[in-house]
Amino acid sequence: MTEVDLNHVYKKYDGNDKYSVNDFDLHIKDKEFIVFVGPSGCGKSTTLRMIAGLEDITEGTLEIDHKVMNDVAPKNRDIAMVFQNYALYPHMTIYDNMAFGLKLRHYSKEDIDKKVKHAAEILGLTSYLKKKPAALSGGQRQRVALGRSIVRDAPIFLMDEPLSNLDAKLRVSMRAEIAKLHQRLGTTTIYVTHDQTEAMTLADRVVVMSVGKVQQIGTPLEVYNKPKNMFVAGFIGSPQMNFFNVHYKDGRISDGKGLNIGIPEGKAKMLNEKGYNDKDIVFGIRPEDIHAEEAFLETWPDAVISSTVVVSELLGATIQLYQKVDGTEFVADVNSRDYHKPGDHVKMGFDVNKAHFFDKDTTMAIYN
Amino acid sequence: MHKFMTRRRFHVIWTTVLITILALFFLFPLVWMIVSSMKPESQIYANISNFKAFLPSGHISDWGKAYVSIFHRFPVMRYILNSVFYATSVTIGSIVVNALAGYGFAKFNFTGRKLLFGLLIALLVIPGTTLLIQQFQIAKTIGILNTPLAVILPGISSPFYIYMFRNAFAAIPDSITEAAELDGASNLRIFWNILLPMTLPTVATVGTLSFIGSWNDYVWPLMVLTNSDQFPLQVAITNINSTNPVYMNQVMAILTISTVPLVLVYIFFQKYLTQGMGSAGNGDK
Repeated sequence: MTEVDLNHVYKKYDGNDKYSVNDFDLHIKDKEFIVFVGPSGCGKSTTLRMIAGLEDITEGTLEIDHKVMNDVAPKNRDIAMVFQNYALYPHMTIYDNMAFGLKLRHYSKEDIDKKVKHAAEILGLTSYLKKKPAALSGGQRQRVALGRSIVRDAPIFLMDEPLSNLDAKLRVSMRAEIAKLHQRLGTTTIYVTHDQTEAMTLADRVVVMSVGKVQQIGTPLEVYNKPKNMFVAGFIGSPQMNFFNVHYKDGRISDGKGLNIGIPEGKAKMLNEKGYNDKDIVFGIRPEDIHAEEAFLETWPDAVISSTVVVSELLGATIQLYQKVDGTEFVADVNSRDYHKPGDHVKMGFDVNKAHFFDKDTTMAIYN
Repeated sequence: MHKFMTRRRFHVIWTTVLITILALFFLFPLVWMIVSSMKPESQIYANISNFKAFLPSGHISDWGKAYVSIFHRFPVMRYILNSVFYATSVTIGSIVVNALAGYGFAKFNFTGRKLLFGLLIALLVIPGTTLLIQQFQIAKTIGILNTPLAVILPGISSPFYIYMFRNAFAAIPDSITEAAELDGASNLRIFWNILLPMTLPTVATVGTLSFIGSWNDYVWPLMVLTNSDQFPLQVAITNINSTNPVYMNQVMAILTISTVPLVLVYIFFQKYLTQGMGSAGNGDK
């Protein structure tokens, strides 16, 4: 049973005017897999390092199992951490790398041997135990780093962009291994990444961060389907959500150029209730909610626009069509059967039932 | 392609010849010293103007005579042991003290770190000899004159070695020390089990340079020691060179004896020396 509480945590570095982490408030449940996601410099790694004790907390409290840990040394927090660059000890064998923490905690030789060999078996490293890190590939090194955490039986795992140094293919397989490992061990895990795919695939809950502030906390589906603001809407999802500056009036939105579509009654009612009739708002729609199939265009003629293809990227099953409508660019992720080459004039239908609307000034979602 | 290969081969031959000539220039006094210790004194002067100056005596029985005599006339063994003791103590002390200071500068944030390190670097340009009088005063004040401590202590700390260790440790990613910290290691444990083994070329370089520096030191031991029983070899050599009768072959013999440990140390640590001096001591190697 290990819970972590971050109570209104702030971090300001010496000599900086601004807070690097601003009012971070989160309760992490036992066995939960939490992912901090955000662009570089958003404070996600700083927060993780504060949990590890590698950075001091400027304000607020960190509690592990309801004990305040602000002034507890990292080694006494019983936390295991996996670093982006593996942080293996290059002069030690793989066995010694994994055994180092146990030796310092005065485990018996037999126990150390048992634990290291067990972890090596889980991670497929048994035949590498006598080798040094330099003889291993990136993926194997990261597995050793995971092994070093596993042998400790630490109740909390921290992972700081553990897959960033791996190539794309290896990243996918290691991602699956981490997910399996979490299912198997059930350790409370806090994982930092800038890759929203990792966040979506691994997390029980995602914490989306930007410029030191938490933007939204929720399950992957929540942050994807109900983004709280334009940052979350744009950051989660690839390619990112399309945004149009539009004017809303009496059930229609228009950007005054090529985009002029009707929106469903239910959505229009909510916008009216929130007082946005005859006002400028931001209309957001995900690339996969824009369609090119005839059937869709015929069913929803009021949500169709004419555009010109600028770039088309064939990905196999789908094709991403980068288009322009009177100067405004957007991207649609359509079935590869609807292939169009650059320069083609096409008709695109917006699935407005899945549209998102944001306040132009606050960038907050008008409703969720 | 062929022309390129020929030119490349010519370049290799040319540089090899040049380096060999240069090496011979450096080797010549050393060879002369060794062969001169292996012949009677009269032959040294007789051969001085011809190529025989670089050949030992024709009689093998003459080769060790100067060595036997010098060991009979002077307590050479004691001088050697004194030198070994001083040099080893300075070497161990130098590695421990300078590495710890380098660790502090590389891995700890404290107020005034930059200023202190700047002052340390500034010390690099001050010649050691200008500090001799002050050091002597300090040694006198704390009452260690005429003791081995007077020879050893001032030789331990060195801004240059601190600078070398600081660079070597700074090249090791912080994540490695942080991983060790989370593994439960104390600062001293991290230093001893992680950082030092990862910077062996620097350890070997500082160790070798400290050993050579201490072994060759002449002025300082001469200043702080008056009891000839405590003299290191270098100070003793001057005594031998000025104690009548002075035999040139015996002087050459004691000089050869004093050179042997340095050559051995160099041969043994040569690999690390080039790594430690040539790189930033990147611990990832």
